[in-house]
Amino acid sequence: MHAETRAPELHGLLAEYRSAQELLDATRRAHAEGFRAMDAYTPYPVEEIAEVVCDHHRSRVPLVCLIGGVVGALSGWALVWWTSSIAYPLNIGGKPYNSWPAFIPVIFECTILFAAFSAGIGMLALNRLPEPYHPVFNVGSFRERGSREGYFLCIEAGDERFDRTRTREFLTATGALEVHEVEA
Amino acid sequence: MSVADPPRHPVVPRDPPVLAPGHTAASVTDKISSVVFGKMPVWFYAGMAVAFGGVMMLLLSLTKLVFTGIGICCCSGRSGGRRSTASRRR
Amino acid sequence: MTLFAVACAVIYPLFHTGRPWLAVYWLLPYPNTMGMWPNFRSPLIWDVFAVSTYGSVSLLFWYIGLIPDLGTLRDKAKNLWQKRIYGTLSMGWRGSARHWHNYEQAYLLLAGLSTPLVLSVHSVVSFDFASGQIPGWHTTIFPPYFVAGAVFAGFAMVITLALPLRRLFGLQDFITDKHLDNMSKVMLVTGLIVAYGYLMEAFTSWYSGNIFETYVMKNRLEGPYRWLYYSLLVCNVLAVQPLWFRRVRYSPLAIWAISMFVNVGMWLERFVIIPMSLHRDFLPSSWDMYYPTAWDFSTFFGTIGLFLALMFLFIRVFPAIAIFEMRTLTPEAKVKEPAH
Repeated sequence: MHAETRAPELHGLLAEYRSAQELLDATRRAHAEGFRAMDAYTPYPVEEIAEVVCDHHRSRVPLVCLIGGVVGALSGWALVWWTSSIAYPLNIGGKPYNSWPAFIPVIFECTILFAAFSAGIGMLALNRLPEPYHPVFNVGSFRERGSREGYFLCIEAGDERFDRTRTREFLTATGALEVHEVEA
Repeated sequence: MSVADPPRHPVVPRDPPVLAPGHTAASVTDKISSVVFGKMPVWFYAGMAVAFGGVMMLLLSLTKLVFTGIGICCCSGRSGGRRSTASRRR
Repeated sequence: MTLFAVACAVIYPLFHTGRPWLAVYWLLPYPNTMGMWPNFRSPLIWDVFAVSTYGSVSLLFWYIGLIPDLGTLRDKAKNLWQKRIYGTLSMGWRGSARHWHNYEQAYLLLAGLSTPLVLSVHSVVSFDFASGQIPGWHTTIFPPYFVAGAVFAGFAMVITLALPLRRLFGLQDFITDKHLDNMSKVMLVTGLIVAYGYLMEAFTSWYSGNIFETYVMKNRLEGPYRWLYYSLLVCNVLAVQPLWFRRVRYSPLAIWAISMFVNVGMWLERFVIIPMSLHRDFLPSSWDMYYPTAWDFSTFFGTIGLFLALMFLFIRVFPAIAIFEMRTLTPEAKVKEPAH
């Protein structure tokens, strides 16, 4: 958890906006102002907002997927080669024990299986999901509107530039409909 | 067609939209989740009952086929067991 | 739809082994006390890997795609148990932009992986037949023929299910004329590819000069099941031709009727491939007729019942259309770069 700087139980300040465009503009201004420990909440993915919040870093999911695919290919090959050449060799139609063309379908399927599961489970792990509790759910407005039509920006109390009053004024100045305090 | 469909235009549109105009994120959410949370129409229960009947029929057929195929007695067909082979061996 | 179809389909190979409890170590590679391993050069084992990969990746893709919508349902649920169950399943999704960033990448990758997976799975299924020597089976047209046939039958089934749902739940705003148009076009294109497959089979039967291959075609055209073959041509080739016309492609009733013809046609295609090739193969003395029994009918209609029951449950419990994806199409979702 972030170290609380001001009040003991404050996670951050949550500002509500009317549309994705307003949220994007506010997020850009917050980023320009120097805030880094922040997050934006939208009911659907908005690529531009995600790029600002993640500081233009690329997602690591594709790398995880690639590693998974390579591991899958090697595991698949190891499985078929070991069983067919060493553990339980069978003479099928006079084919050599290491008949790699015949093994391609199995190796291909293993690659896709491992790659897909790495992408899916890797994404959940990188997002630290499942996360049943998060302070932002303490705000009533977020619970009601968050997943349906709400556009929120949360600046966390752990950020260096966070100040309870000044940050609240800053958020109001970016055009927030309302600024809520988020209990930790 | 019926009242449920939108009015048909005499000229077929060249490039219809992917989502009908006039929707917001909220209205989209409400409409699609109304299928899950709304009151279920009567035909749904009737359809579900018919489908469930089908499932029972499948279960019954598969059970019967497996039992007679294996030859487990007490399920008709060519039932095996001690008595049938013993009496044949003469 | 895919998942429920796989669930229905997987029943059959399991029971067709005759002794399903043995099928476990015949098919799945696991270390057992006999030190036995399956034969990985066999299309049957390729099929096991392909279909189980297909089933599990589809399940994963389906679940990952549902997570944001499960979050929406959690927030909209009034009943405490609904809230808890949707809450658990949604894994605490809150719409965080950081999460969306990773999520979009994962979703794209899963979609990108699923496409070659579909191609490979249906090719591997076709190998079950193509690697056999039965005339009518042993042909290289099978992999593309089965893949095109799968997409063809798949779109027909989507239309069969989606159009009544659209009408009965009033979802015309989300499944628009554009979708109907596109689905019809795909159905038409894959129907033409399947028609090409039929043409090639006929051509190869003659061109091969092989009496057994030639006889397969003769049997289809003149044998005891010829009416099924003619029905196949009517349903799969002729019935989709009206889709060339825009008027037809924009009429939900017409598209639905055509999709029902295609569903029947694809069943007939499988009948033509399996019983019709098997009942008259190399040796005339082993020729016979196949007549279905009451158990064939009951397992068939029972499986349809299983599929429909699962679909009914699904539409009641989970959103039938991806809510978050629909939201991205609304006008308020458009953002623009700031003027610097």
